[in-house]
Amino acid sequence: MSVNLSVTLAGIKLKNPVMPASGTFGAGREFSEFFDVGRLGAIVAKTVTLKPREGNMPPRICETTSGMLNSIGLQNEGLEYFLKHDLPYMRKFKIPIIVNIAGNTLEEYAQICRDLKGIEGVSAIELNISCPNIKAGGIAFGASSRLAEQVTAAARYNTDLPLIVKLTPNVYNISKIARAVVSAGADAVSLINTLVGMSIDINTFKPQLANYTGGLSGPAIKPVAVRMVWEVAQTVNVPIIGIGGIMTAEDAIEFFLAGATAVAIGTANFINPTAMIDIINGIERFLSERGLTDIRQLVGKVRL
Amino acid sequence: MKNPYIAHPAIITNIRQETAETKTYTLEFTKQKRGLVFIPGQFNMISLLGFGEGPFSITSSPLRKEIFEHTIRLVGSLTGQINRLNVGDIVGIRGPYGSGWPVGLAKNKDLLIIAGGVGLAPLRGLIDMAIEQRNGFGEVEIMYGSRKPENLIFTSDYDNWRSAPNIRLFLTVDEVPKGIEWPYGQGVVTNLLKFSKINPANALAFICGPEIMMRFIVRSLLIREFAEKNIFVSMERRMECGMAKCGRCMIGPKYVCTDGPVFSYPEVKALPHNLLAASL
Amino acid sequence: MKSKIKALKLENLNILIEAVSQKYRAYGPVAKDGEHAFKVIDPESKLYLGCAATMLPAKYILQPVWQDLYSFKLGNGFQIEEPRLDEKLAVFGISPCDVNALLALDRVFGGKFADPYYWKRRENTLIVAANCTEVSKESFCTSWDTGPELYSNYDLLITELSDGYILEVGSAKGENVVAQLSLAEATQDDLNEKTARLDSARANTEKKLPVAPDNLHQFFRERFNHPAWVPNSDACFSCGNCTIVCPTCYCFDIRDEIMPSRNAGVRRSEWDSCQLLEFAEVGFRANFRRPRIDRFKHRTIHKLSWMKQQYGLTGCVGCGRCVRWCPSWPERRGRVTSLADPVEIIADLMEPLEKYKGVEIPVREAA
Repeated sequence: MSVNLSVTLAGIKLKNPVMPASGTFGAGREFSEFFDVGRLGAIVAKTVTLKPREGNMPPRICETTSGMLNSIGLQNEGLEYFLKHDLPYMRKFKIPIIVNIAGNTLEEYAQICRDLKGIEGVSAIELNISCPNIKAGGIAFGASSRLAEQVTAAARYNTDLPLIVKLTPNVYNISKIARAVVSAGADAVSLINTLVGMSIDINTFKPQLANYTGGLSGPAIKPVAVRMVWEVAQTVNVPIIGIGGIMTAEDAIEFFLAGATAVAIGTANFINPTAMIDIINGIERFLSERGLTDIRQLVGKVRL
Repeated sequence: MKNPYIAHPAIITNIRQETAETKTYTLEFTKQKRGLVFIPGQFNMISLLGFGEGPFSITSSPLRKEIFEHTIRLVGSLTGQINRLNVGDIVGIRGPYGSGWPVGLAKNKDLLIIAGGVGLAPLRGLIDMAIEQRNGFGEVEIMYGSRKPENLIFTSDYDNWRSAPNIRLFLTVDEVPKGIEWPYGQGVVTNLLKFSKINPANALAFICGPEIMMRFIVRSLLIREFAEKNIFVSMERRMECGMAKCGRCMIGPKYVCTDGPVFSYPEVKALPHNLLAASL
Repeated sequence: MKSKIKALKLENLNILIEAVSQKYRAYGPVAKDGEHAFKVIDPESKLYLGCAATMLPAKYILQPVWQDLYSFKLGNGFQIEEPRLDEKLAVFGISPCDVNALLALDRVFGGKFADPYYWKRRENTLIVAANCTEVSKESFCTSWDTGPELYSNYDLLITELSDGYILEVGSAKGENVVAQLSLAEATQDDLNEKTARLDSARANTEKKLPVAPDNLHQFFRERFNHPAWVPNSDACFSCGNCTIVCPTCYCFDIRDEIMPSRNAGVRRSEWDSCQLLEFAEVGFRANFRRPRIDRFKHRTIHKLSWMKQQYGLTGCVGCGRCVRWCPSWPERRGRVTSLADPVEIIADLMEPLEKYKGVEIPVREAA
């Protein structure tokens, strides 16, 4: 009995619901040594900004219990380089490409979207809204429903591509943020991004990160992510990409049950390069062992 | 015999400035306990005794029992006087009159609400009602535009609308003044229709704005395979009595004050003058 | 439908006017400035019972040109005082067409928002109608069956004979009036004369509608953009005479008047006309019927078709007043009749389109 793993997300057809989380996969060059990247449901590129960014001073990562902190600072070569070098490379895999973008002003988001118009191979845009909004005094776009709505609008009116908005969990009410971005025209939401965390070296008395705080990811955050996916699934009816500490297929299944249509794998990639392939196979096995034929038979099916 | 020309006194309890020349007035009747019983889309005749009377849409949700609201733009002499009123002033009210939006037909359907300029006013009550009775309706898409950002009305309501589940709000203006941050659309309201995701087969469209705007919107909706009978518009004409007596508001054999102001598109098509002719 | 009440013979009208004047303030058509008008009459008055004789139809007694709706006092809100309307009026010599017009107005002012001002007067008014024993060349009541004979909806009905009048009673109010007069019954000869006169009036009616009334709805729908409208409405002055003299016109304006003290005033209704430019004007000077052709079409089609659709009764009773009082000097324009003539408008719309080759139909501008 064959199992159908394909899903349609915001109009894009994915042959399976597994993709990398932005920033953990580069453009796929390093991982293509370990497996055929074309087997993934989609490829999600590292965040690209309008102009190149150097990122933060090292140390920029450190391990924590069941997770890691990162304060890379969105280091990237900028949009022009991305379009010239990374995108053509990713097109070779012949799977949908989701371009993750970020900016410090509404106009920067709008500009990147305009520059992506008509570019071959781009299947969707994912908005990273965890960046600080310079004009709003440094509050992250994703931290208030008003700013989240505005940044979604800035993108929405400048692109006809499917628009995915990546939500930050560092808010009081993520459901309200989700509703706000959907009201501005988001076609899907992905959650969660990293939780702000800190680690102090008790021998040196100093923070482990040069930036003091960083984003926590890995198994430690999975329960928070599952909870937030479940909450958001109750309140919007756009598709959800679940992200947060997925290491195994069993972890992924939790997210589907909570309401996610697809999942993104991040930290696991640093530990096991073929994690995503293992997860795809594991999902298939989970379904067939239970006599289920379609991944959609799991989506949102948590019994309350 | 009841005298339908008599106006009932109502006191202004709140005034909210929407734009430079538009205000929303909250009113309560002074001589009766209950508020106004009406359907969104209906209008009252508001009297300033000694000055005159005019038709104005009721802009609050009918679920708000004690009060009702009107949103009035300064365009002429009567509205100029109304613009000078303060909280505590008393006006005369006759109504409600006219046909409202067909909320009965809208149960469990998706709603596509399209407005231009001050045309959003007769739709606000419907939007607030759909938000409060979220389970009674499907998805709601609101497409609204005006000349400039400063001309948009009900801006203080937008965040409230956006925080309800499965409501989409799209905005556009004709021009953005220098120095204003405007992440939304620029151009005619018709351009916003490309963002619509609802299925026309299970949706109703409610439109209000300048007739030329409504004409292009109807055309676009028909191209998107909206059935004619699922398209409703609110028409406007000069009114003196609101009761099909003074004769002013007729379009062909129909009185806009009693047969309308809300008409289905097939009804408008049957009127003379090809008002919203949307030839494909 | 003929009334079943027996017919009485009346020697002269003065007896009747006297009896009516006891309880009612009587109006009747009398000579005025070379024409005729409804004025208050007394038993000495000489009534003229010709076809649609008066310029203003009797409706202006029921819907006065200016009337106070109510007076108000301002200060801490407002207080409203309604006028008392309990005067009893009688209208003598109202023709069958005008009575049929009143039936249409009854529907306009009735319905869901019944107008109490109209109805208080209507209920208190005695209708003493008069059949028309001759039909003028402008009238075409026979096409609508609104004249020259009235069959019902009257309190009293007079038909002029060679030697007096037949008086028919149509209601209890009418019965009350004649009860005090000891009148003989009309003879069969009298009734025959009445029939003969009315038949003759019918037969001698020159003007006729070229299209049957029931077909007019389709007729106007098909010809809404016919080129014939253009030269007709071009020559029109939009003076509004046609609407002033028309017995079924009812459009009015409501205006407030405030006293110099600024704390009291009155709200009035006054006659208005859809033919006037400002009628459909709104704020921002937008006007929904700015082009004259729109207004010209509106009156014609409203009277001849739309009123029937709205109220179930015809909006044109064929009285011929608009034909007579339109100042469009037909002789100067080489026409046989004035611009307002519904029969002529319809005839023009039936002409072949070739006759109007070269006529530019104006593109409708947005309001």
